[in-house]
Amino acid sequence: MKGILADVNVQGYVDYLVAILRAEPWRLFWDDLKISYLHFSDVGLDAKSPDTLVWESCQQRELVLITANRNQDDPESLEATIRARNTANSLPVLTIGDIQYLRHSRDYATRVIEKLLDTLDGIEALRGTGRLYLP
Amino acid sequence: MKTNPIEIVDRGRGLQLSTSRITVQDLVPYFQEGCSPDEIIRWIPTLTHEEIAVVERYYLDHKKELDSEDRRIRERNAQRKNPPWVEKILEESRSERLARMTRQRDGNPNGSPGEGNSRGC
Repeated sequence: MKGILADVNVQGYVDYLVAILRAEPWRLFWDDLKISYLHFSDVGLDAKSPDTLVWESCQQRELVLITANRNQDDPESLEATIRARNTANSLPVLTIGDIQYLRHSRDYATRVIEKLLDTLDGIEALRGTGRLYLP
Repeated sequence: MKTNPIEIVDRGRGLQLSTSRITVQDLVPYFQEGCSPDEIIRWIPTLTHEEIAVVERYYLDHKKELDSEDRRIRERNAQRKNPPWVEKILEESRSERLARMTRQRDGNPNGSPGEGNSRGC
């Protein structure tokens, strides 16, 4: 795994989380991961890229997608893409459980950061799990 | 120069902008909280004021249905958790990370002699 990619619907939130991770007291943990943090524009995706393209790009580039899940589980949804294309070697998609609460609670942000670190540290054992949830 | 109109479309993943993968439901909570367009753009910086205005108009025209769908989404998301075996992996990775960091802080990245299950003398 080479990095994390913020979906456009959570970009400002992941910017916020990564800024906290890059500062004390979390910096040591973030640096230890030795991964990149990327936006869609960094990997040639645009803001209207479909879920299938986003998911495939993440797998090809060894990136973990961070997103929210406020969509319907329709045929072209990310959920359907994962169901159709996920393999035992696929990197999971990480879903922030309550994106709005992140704007209001630093305590919740801390819990999301801890779970994000747990997940990224254990990522090789979590391949093939499809979608995982940050709290 | 002709520009594509900004519309609400269905591409099989819930109603979304024709110009972005942002869905109507992505923005519903911001409208419910009375967030300004600038506040929304702070959190979703790829959006434009025009795109937000199109979604907000759609929200105001379909408020009852969209608020009802929002409640279902929140209930669904509250129930979705990682399976227990995944949580076990996450707990183990946290323990390993904390132990690794303790060793690094103590200046001994390989661990202290006798470290492990042994209680020593």
